[in-house]
This record gives sequence, structure tokens and C-alpha cells, in this order.
Amino acid sequence: MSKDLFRQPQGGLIDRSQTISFQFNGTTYQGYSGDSLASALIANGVFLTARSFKYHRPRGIVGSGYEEPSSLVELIGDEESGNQPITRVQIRPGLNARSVNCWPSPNFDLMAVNQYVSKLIPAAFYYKTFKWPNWHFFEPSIRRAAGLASAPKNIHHQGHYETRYAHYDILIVGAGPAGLIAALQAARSGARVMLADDGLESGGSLLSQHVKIDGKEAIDWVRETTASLDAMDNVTRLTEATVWAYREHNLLVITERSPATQNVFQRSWRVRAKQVLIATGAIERNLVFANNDRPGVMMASAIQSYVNRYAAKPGKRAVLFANNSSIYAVARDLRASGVELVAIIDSRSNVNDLPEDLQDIQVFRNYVVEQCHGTKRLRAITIKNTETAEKTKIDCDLLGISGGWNPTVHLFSQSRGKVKYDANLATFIPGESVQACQCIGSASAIFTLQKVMQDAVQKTLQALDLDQSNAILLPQLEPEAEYSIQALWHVDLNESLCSKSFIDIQNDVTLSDVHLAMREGFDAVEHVKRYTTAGMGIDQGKTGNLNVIGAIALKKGCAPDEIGTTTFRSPFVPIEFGALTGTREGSVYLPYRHTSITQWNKDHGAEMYEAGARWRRPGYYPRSGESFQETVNRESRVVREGLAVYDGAPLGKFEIKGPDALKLIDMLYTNNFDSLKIGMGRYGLMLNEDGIIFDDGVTFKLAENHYIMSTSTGNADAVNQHMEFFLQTHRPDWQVKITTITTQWANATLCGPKAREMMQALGTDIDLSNEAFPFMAMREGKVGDFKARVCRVSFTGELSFEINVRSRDSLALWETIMEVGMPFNISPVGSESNHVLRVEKGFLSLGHEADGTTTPFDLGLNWIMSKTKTDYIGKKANEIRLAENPSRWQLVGLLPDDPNELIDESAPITPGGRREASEGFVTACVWSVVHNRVIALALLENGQSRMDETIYIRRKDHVVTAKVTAPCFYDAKGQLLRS
Amino acid sequence: MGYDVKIQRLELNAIIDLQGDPKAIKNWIKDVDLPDFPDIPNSSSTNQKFKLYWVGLEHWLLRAEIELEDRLLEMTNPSAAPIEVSLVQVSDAFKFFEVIGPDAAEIISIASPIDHHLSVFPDNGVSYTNIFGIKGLLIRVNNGFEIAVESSYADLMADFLQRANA
Repeated sequence: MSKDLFRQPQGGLIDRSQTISFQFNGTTYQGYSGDSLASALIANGVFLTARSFKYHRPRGIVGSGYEEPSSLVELIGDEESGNQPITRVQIRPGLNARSVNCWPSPNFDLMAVNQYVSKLIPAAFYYKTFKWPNWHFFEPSIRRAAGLASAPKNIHHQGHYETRYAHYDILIVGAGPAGLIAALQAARSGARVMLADDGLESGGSLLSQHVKIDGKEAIDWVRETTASLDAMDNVTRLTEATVWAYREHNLLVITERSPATQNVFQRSWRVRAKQVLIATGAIERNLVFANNDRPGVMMASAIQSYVNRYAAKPGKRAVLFANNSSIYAVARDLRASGVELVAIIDSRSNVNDLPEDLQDIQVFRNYVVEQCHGTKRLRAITIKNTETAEKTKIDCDLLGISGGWNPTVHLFSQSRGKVKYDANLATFIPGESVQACQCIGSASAIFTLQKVMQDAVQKTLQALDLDQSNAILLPQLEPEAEYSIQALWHVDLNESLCSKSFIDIQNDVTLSDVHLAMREGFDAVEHVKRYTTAGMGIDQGKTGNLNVIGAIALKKGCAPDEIGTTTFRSPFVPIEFGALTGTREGSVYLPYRHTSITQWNKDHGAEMYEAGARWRRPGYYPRSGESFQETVNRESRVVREGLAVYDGAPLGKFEIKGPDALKLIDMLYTNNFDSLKIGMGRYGLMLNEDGIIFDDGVTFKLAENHYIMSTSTGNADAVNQHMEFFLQTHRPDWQVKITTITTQWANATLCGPKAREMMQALGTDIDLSNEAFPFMAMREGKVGDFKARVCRVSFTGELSFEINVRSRDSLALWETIMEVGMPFNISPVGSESNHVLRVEKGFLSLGHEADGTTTPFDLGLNWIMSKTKTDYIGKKANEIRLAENPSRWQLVGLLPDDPNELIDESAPITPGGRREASEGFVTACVWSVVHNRVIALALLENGQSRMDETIYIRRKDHVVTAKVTAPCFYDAKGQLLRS
Repeated sequence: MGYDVKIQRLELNAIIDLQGDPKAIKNWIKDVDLPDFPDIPNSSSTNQKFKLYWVGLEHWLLRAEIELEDRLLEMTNPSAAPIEVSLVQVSDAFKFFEVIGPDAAEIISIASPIDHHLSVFPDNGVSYTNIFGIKGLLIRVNNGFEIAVESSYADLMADFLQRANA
């Protein structure tokens, strides 16, 4: 390590007792605990750390925090990562980092040839090139060349991501001087306080400045204050936590990068705060002149941070260039660090606010830096008098630049607060808030420490609705000069120098590119951004965006406020995807629901599907040696010829009771329920307000105005919402109570010609005869040892008994059924065979024939549409629809001419099989075990009047012909299910 | 384990869903030794045998140990209740979990967006809320919380709770 040359012998906030070895681009270096990768490399005399995005120009370190626009690294080995700004990586044992976008190294990069063809690849060149013969010809090469670091292939971190929610009276974003004093004020007032800061430790700008607070070093005040806050139960203080999004109703999102909890790698917070104070400080902006991207050109505040916080020396011979008075504090600190300060270039005219103690420094007033010299390292600058154009060359290896300070208004803007331009400060500042938030300190464009703290305290009192008597005592501070600036959006240059003047360093956008965009008609700021990609890099243009706005304004001859800003979007800094999902990964990525029989199904080899509303249900039960079709055929045959059982527990079930329960049922369904007798059920069709089929099911009458409604599995929650919505908004005067009992009752449904015999074998006190227990009836009694409600409904078209028991009894019931059913060769069946059986019967299926466009009339369900009810949901819409357009796609059956060819669901039906607008599509196609051939259902234009016609179905590579037939292939009169 | 907390699935409870006019309900089940109906929404009242949760407009849940279920059903006689009173047995529709210990609140913060601070969600607090994306009932108990979800989600909930405390 070049300890002597680039590290101060003492000072800084690093821990010199802990030396850490790390690797960068294959070379081993050493630093101290507390060093960032950037500061450690500077201390080792490493200044060439990167190559630029497009031109592969040599680059160094420019900033000291998240605003870093120039040097990106990727971590390799055990901490493999994607792009990271070099300033945001802390050195630790084993760290291994390398520069991105250069090969083999930043010092020698093969792609540097791009610099020699830079005139051919200005902004947006790709809109005008790669056209012949076809852009896909170039696509593979472009994809290979695109991007910076690679996505990591392996996950190495210990622990998991976590997301959590929190509520606070006040959330303070940023723990610099404003945030700290605000937190102290709020906490002592008894409020629930969260203080979140992006840095490794609280302090913000105080960590990088030599100021005295209450006569002590600022860092001492910071540590005392944070200790006080940490001792209070009502305060949550986060470090290494970026507040990166501001949403509606004061919801903010924070990602905490190194939480103290064991096994938690990163934690995301979703915080709802009654009040928000944005203490995010200000970001220094760039200055635009020729070759302002050379290694050795750094933000002035970054230099201050490196010399004060890290005791590193970013150069030996320095010049400072600024348009504002903040440069003088940097000058003071730079000199104190032992770096030779050769000159200060101050572009302001008629201003002399040079402090007394710096009077011996040469100051060039009314001068600007025209260009830098040197390639892999700065070696000199040329400065120019703005009035006389006189030029002077100054040798130096470090140039600190400050184009002024921009309040960090990103979160404020995301909160929908408007920003406004302040000509005196030459920047955009927060305007009126829309949500319960305020900017404090430098974030509200206050730049002296005394006023920052006063502002923070006052706004905290305001936020908490407290009067002055509650104000805490402010610490004693040294006097400070007021901030003064004169806007300098770019140095006045000839066009050839403009092409080397970088306005967005990260994306290699030059001043020429901005002018080019405007010449081509893209002169709105959002268009300039997209045309040039200025502000679209990982840094989101934090140091350069305002200069883009200023450059546009200068070119157009207007003020920056007439140009406006681009939209500030979240995230404020890059966030890992894992931090967004938290625990929602692996088996819980999607919700799942189980019945009491789920484990039994799995244990018995069932192939499990998601079957609507997140339920896992058995699709089929394969046996060894069977193909899928053989299994489905076997299960279907068992239902048609013998005895089967399926788990019907997931069907939606609701108990509906109240003086107006019948009114509700009649309003929900298209058919009449007033004639329904106690102990009987009726199939009902439910429509939405557009008259489209929404759901179907059987509703049983328990007593007067007391019903049990069943719905489809997938729509149960939607039907519940539908009912509640109707009652609460349309008929709040109706007295009806709805109780969800979907999982209170489980059922095992016996189906097949032997179902009645099986019921008798189980033992029951219910009279199972058809006379006593007809189709659509419900009876209560015992089945085996179980209290049950038994319903005669059928989804397969066969004789069926749906045995409903308490869920706690359902596994025992199921096992009893399997045991008692052995002599009957009982078989469990799944949804695949159910599908076959219902197609044979022509029963509708939600998602197939009822696809969100079909009405009951389309499906031949005219019989269920009451002609006597004055109203029900969907009635009017269907009347209008029928009156306006009688031509509809209608449900038909199909018999393909090839009885063995299965046709894809949704295969289109077109006139003559030609490639033109379809006149229908196949909704379902199965192998029928009853007819030993393929059958299908379809929606066909005017299908009900096209019986026996031959139609044409387009498959992927050929056309299939089929005969139109009635949409029921088995027991059309329903004799079997009524037997 | 990340947090100092004990998480376990609880045994079945006897639960009756009560909806309707509170006077009519009280009149119908006057012979059941219930605690007083809570006077603040989203709160509970308890006595030795029963817990009564006020969970919605004219909507309560009555909870007891499972051993009392048959007796409770006999005394409340849901099928004979007047038309303005809805009493429905829903014991099997709920699965309960307890989250107990010094870090119980951490787990709830991970699970739910509800503000469960004592100042807002008191000792007798009960509320439906979103728990790991699923509708669930959050109940404050001594030294922690109970969560109740629809029983079909029980395995999912156990999965989530284990991950939260991994």
C-alpha cells in the first residue's frame, strides 16, 4: 500500500488497527476497516478504475456515495454480484472485485477502439443503423455486447431475504444533521419514530466535514445523538437502509442491506407513516467542459469525504473549479490533508467571498476550465477567462469540481409533490407537498448548518402538531457564510470540444449529443433523455440531470423552469429482486390450498394440479405401466360402469340466512327459487351485470329463508365478493347474512351405477330409495359412524351421492369408503376423468364453454332463464344483447370424421378451413369411453341451426373436418343421474 | 432460528359464527354463559369458558375449547334460531396458530401490514387482516398472538411461518 503518498498519517473515521487485504482486478491491496473500495484504492494510488460504457474511455472515481457515475465493479468469488458502484462496496476480508465493461483491464481495454470511431456512434446512432439486411442479423452481437456486469450465477449469501411492515408516527429519511435533530425532537415528544439512513453509520455530511458542534467535533455530536436515540424504546434507527420509493398514503419502501438479525441477508420494509420528513440532503452536480471525465477529475464534495472521512489523498497537486461558494470548505480541508492546492477557479463574476484563511491561495475569478489534459490520468488543465478568453495551462493531477447543489427531491417528487425552480439557487427545490411530508435541511435547499437544524426542529414540531414550548435546545454552532452560486450549465465551447464534454458520465452522453437531439426535433426534456439516454444509467443521472436541463434551456434561450424535470422514478438506487419478494419464494411463491385428503392423494400417487382458487386437487391416479390416456380412460370407465369416489371438498359453500335470503337468491340466479321445497336443491346459473355467465351451482333449502349455496371451486371467493358487493351497495336494506362454510364441510362423492349399493354397504339411516331421496334432494343423517348431509347431485351424469361431513371427519370417511368399497372395486378419480364425463354429458365448464363471453342462450340454457321474474342480475343486458345481435357463437357437439384424432382445445373453426376470420372454436375434446371415439364441444356461429353440417377445424399443420351434432353424447334425458 | 419465538399449530376449537341483530342473538342464546359482548369493534371479551370476538358489522365469533362444542351446539341450537339470527358452526373452517415469545411481534410484522402496536391493537385486540397474503384473524394473547386462517390454507401458513423464522 502506498501508505505515505496517498494516505494521511492520522485522522479519518477508519480503524487503523484492522488492516484488510482485498483484490481488485487481480491485484492484492490493503486497506483499513471502514474503508470503501473507492477510498482504499485511492489510498493505494489506484486512480484508473474503469472504462466508460460506450467509448471505453479511461475513467476513475468521481463521487463518494450512491451518486458515483463513473466506476462500476462486480464482485467475484464467494460474494458474486452484479454491478456495484465502487463507492458503495465496503472492503472486507476476501473481497474480490473487478472493473466491468473492459477487457482485459481498465489499463488496456481492447474496446477502446470505439474512441476512434466516436463520430460514427453518437447518441441514438442505433436508430439509424443495423437496418440492412435485417436487424435480427445484428441482434446476437448486440446482445452479447450489451450490458455491463453479468448477472451472478450462484447465490452465495448466507440467510434469506425478509420483507416486513411497520407503522410509525413519523418516518425521517436521512440521518444527517437535519435528520438526527429531527429524530431527537420527535422522539423526545413521545412519537413513534423511524430514522433510516443509507450510510454505514448515521451522520450524513457531518462524517465528511470538519465542523464543531457544541464545541466538539461533529462526529462526537453524531455519536452522542445516535446513542440517545438508540436508548429510546420509541425509536427505530436503521443504517445501510435506503428509502427508495414513496407511494400513496404515505407508504414508503426501505431496503436494509445488513440487518442485525441472524439469517436475514437483506430486509425490506413497507412503512406506513403518519408524517414523513425527507432529510435526504443535496447532491453536488457536475461541471461540463472538455475531457471532464478523465481519471483525477472528482466531485469536490467527494474529495472532502476522502480526505476527512477516509484520510486518503486523491492526488498530490490539486485545483478546484466551482460556480459556488461551497468550494472554499473543500479548499480548507484539502490543504489541511497535505495535498498541494495550486489554484481555485471560480466562474462567478463580481463575487468575492474568499474566506480570510484562504487568502493566500491563487483564485482565478471569471475563469472556467475549458479542458483537461491527460488520458489515463489527469496531468493538466486549460482555463479560460470568460470575458477576455485568455487561456492559461495549469499542471495538476486532481481537479475538484462543483457545479452547485441539488436538493435530493426524488422521494418528494415520488410523493407527487411538485418541484419548482429557484433562480437564486440555480436548482429545483421542493414546492407544495401533496401527502403528509416535508423536506428538511438541505433537501429543502437550506445549506448552512445552523439553519438546517433550526428548520428541522420547526418542521418536526409542525408535523407533530406541537407548539414551540416543546422545542429542544439547539446545539452551539460556528458561524458560516451563506451559500452563493451563479448557474453554469456548461462551459462555452466550440463544437469539437462539446463532443468531448460529458454531461452524463455514466452513459457517455456529451453536450454534442444533447444538441444533436434538439436538432433532430427531440427538444422536450423527456425526449432528450430517451434520445441520448442521459439519466438512464444506474446512477439515474444524479450528478448530471440538471445540467441537461440547463443545456436545453440555454439552447432554447429560456429558463430551466420552462424546461422542467424528467419524472423521478423509484427505485432511488438499484434494489435486489430478492429484497422485493422476501419470503415469497419456493413452495410459497404461489399460494396453495389443501383438503384433508390431499396427503392421502399424494401418498397414493395422484398427479396433483392446481384446480382453481389455489386448490391442489388430483388430476388422475396413474398406475404402473399406464399411459396418461389409459389412466383417464380407466377412471372414466369406472364411473360409467362401476363405482368411483372423488374429493369434492373445494366446492364453494355458503350458508345464507335472513328475512330477505330468498330475494337475494332470486336476484343472483336467472331461475326461480321461490318454489323450492325444504330439503331440495336447484341448479342455478349466475350472471354478471353484462349478462355473461359468471358461475353455476346447486342451492339447497334448509328452511324458510335459509339456504346452502354451492359454487364452483375457482369462483367461490368471487361469488362471495359478488354477493357482498350487491348487498352492501345495491340493497343495504335487505337483511341477509352470509357465512362461508367451504371448509367447514368436506365431501366425498360416490358416483356410478353402484353408488346406491355402496351407500347401503356403508350403513346409513337415510332412506336411499328414489322415492324418498330423489335427485336434487338433501338428507341429513348418519353414514357409517359419521353425521352427514347427503346430497343427490351429479357432475358426471351418473347416480351420485355427495356425502358431506365435518372436515375433521373427512379423512376417516374417505378411508372407510375405500375399505368398504373394495368389493365394488372402488376407484378414486380425478379432474381429468371428470372432464371427460362432463363433456359426454355436455355440462358447461367455467373456463371452457363459459369463457367470459358466453351467455346462457349461447349454451342452449334458455330453459333456465326465467320469463316471469321481473329482475335478476344480467337480465337487462341479455335482453339488449338479443335484440341487437341475434347472431352468436352457440354451443354444439362435434364428431370429428377421424374418430381417433384428438383436437386441441381452442382450435379455431373457419369457413372451409381457410386461413380467415374464425366462426368458432373447440372448447373441449376428449376420448369418450362410452362411444369409444373422440368427441368435442365447440362454440360455433349460429351453431344451433347448423346440425349435421360439416365444419372445418384448423390445427397447427392441417385441417380436420367434423360433423355438428347436439352437445350431449350420453343419456340426454338424464335418466341415469335421476335413477 | 432467527427470532426468539415459539410457533405452533393449535388443536381444533369450537367456533360458532354469529350474525344478526345483537339483541336477537343475546335473546336467543341467553342461557349460554357468555361474556358481555365487546363494546369496541375489533376487540374481544372473555370469561372462563368462552371468548367472543367482534369481527364485523353485526358479526361475532364465539370460541371455546373443542370439548364444549357439542354442548354449545345443543344450547345454541342453530337450526332453530329465529330468522334474524344466523348461527353457523364453523369449528372446522378455522385453523389456529400461536406465535408466542419476546419476538412474536417481529413475526407478525413480517406476516401482516396491520399496525399491531399496543397503542393501536390493545390486549383484547382482534381483527381480520392480511396474513402472508391470505385473509386471517389476528388475536392478541398473553405474550404474543394467535393467527386463524381458513383451514385449507393451514399448510401454507405453517410454511410461511417457518420461513419467517428461518
